[in-house]
Amino acid sequence: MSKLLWLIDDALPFPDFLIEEMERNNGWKIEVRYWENKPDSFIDYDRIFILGNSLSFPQERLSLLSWEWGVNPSRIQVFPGEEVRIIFPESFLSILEKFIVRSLSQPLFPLEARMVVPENRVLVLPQASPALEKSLKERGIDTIIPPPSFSLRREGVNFYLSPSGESVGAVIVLPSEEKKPPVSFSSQIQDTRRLVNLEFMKKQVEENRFTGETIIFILPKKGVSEEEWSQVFHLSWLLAQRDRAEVLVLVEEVLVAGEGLEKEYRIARSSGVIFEKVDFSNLLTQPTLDMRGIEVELTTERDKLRQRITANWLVFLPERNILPFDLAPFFRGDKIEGEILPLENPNISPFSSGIEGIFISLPGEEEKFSQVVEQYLRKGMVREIGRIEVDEEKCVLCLTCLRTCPWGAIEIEEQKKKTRINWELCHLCGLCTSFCPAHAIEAKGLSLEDWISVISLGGKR
Amino acid sequence: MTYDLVIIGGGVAGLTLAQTLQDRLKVLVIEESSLGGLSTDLGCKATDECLYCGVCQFINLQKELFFKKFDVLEGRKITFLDKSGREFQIKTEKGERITSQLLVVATGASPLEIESLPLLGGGKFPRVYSGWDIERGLNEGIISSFRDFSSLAFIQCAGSRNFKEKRGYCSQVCCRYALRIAENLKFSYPQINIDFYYMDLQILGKKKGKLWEIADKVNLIRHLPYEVKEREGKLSLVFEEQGVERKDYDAVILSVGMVPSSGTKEIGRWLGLNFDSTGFIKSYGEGHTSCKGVFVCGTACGPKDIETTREEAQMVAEEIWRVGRG
Repeated sequence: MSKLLWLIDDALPFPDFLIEEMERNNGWKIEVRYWENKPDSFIDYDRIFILGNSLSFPQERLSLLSWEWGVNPSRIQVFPGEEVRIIFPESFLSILEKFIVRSLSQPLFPLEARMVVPENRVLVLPQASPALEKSLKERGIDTIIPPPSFSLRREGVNFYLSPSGESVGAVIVLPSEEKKPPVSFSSQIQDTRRLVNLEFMKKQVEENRFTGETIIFILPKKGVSEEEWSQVFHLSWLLAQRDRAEVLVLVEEVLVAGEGLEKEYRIARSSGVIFEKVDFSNLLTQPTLDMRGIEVELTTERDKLRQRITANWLVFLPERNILPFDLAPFFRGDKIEGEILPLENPNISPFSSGIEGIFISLPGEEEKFSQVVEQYLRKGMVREIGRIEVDEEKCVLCLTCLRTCPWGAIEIEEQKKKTRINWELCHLCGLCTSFCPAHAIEAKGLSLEDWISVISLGGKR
Repeated sequence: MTYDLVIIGGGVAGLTLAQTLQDRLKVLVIEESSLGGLSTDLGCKATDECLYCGVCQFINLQKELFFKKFDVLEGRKITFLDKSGREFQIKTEKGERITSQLLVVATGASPLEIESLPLLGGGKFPRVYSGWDIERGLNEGIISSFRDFSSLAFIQCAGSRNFKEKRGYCSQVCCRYALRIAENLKFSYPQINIDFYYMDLQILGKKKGKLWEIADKVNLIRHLPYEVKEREGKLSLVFEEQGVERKDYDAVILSVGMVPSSGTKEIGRWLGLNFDSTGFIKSYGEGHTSCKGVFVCGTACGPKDIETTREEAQMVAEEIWRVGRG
């Protein structure tokens, strides 16, 4: 007699008389429980059915549950709760019975959910910056130096370097940055030596006084961090307040959306710094005749007046663009290829490249970054060993598997031209794996000994 | 009941923090109404493509809540809160008594009521909406009344960046959500002409490429109208540009700022925490407050978006773990 457990996650209709009828018809022993008082041990049950919102139970969740409960993953099935509302009560019983009968066969493969933890070691491409290496070291993560020539291969959760044979848990990519000035400056302007960056100005302010001089800041709208904005507000305030200098900040927009930035912006403005919004496309610069200053010609956004201002110093912040990093040379013959960029999508965890185990580090955020990496390396993940999977790269869509499968568990996604295995229907008989002419279907993570035992079992059958 | 850590407020910040620490500490979340906080009001703003508004982060969090390992007390107001020795004593209105080693205040912020902006027509004219009304509308799918409109104005910084009203801060989220709503409305009803009145567009920084594309599609006007009046069945904005000018619209959306919620003020006062000049709880870095053993995270210490709130909550969680061990 099969002993079944129904777990119900919310107030879905599940009347007792149906259960009694099903028990009588099929000779099952069914136990219904709500999620809150689920049993401590699940080993006694042949099958565990979950009635709940199918969105809450993706495959990863089921793997996690089967690992936590110590149950074979193929013994947990989800019946979509949202369907119940539609089909109840007319065809509910027949569909439920079919669903149970379909799930009751014994799997031939040793399916198992295992907790795998990536190795506590990372590879940094192309080379680790000292700040990143330090913060990773503080958290106990080793970095390995990339050998002069190597290729990477993914195996499970780890990455393997060949030919050296070392393995790492994650790959960190440091994309290079392209810096360009917000306005193009001619070489003559650079000859005046009055065109400086923010770092230079910060040092100069400590040593010199700029009494009576005119200083112009030029800030681009993209690629300036909050700290840099804060530094500009502070520096311009200092120049205007302490040295009585004429300070003009040319921007397209001012950033105040940050902690305390609005306040600093206001302080700078009230001390006499002028923030002028200008269109950078018609901003002209040329050196003065004595080559000791720079003349800036601009049109203000407010009153559309063309103005000419002579500045003693021109401070600019570069516009930073992150260049895509090409992973293809490292992953030879693997599925991972192409250029990766930091994702703008806030729904994906920060620093993620969209590929599991590959992270993108950005300069200035090493502390937060190494925390994310540490979490990934420590947490580990549950993986199922023995699931039948199709390697999309090898599959030639010959449809042999479709004809072979006795359970009708193999489907072709027409639009994507992909073979897909329906795990709800799959009985793990392994027929498709032996029939596939392209060797594209295999049981994931199964060792050779396991295979031999499976094949011998199949023979007995 | 004794806990290692009690989190007051079950919004995005509180839940993320509880989730980060649930394996390591005994955590309790106390929520006044229902879990989710402000983010339950937010709606997905996707058109035919994702606009990366970040609301899914909350939906993902909700899904994970099904497997939570921390305790939750929902629908409980705190009636008593005190620090005795090293422990915190908490009593709720339903009579639960809770003792805790550490306390996190994640009571959040609330959107400014548009009734407090009478000059901009808040509460006076039915077709003056707040940005949060539209968010709720998107959530429930009831913005179909915009079908007949031909012109629409967004007014940014309504109530924020105002030093006279002691709200001299940028609410950080308004420009972004307003632009995304504008894009969404423009996609659903292409005939609407959208004007965007603003001070400074707060979509600068490192990765805000998508929003600049949207900003190019609306009419950006760097002005803030000082009054909204009704004229011949339309709403008329009054603003100054070489003399007084008026412009008529079918509807006006005020992008209201975030103000500290009543819970934030109350809990902060009970614990004797330091506030900053704008009424939010002052954070001394990594969630530390002026009271030992009390941490603050999320919008209780300043306006933030969901993404930053989650990042911050994880940082504070690590800090609490470090402090709690030592």
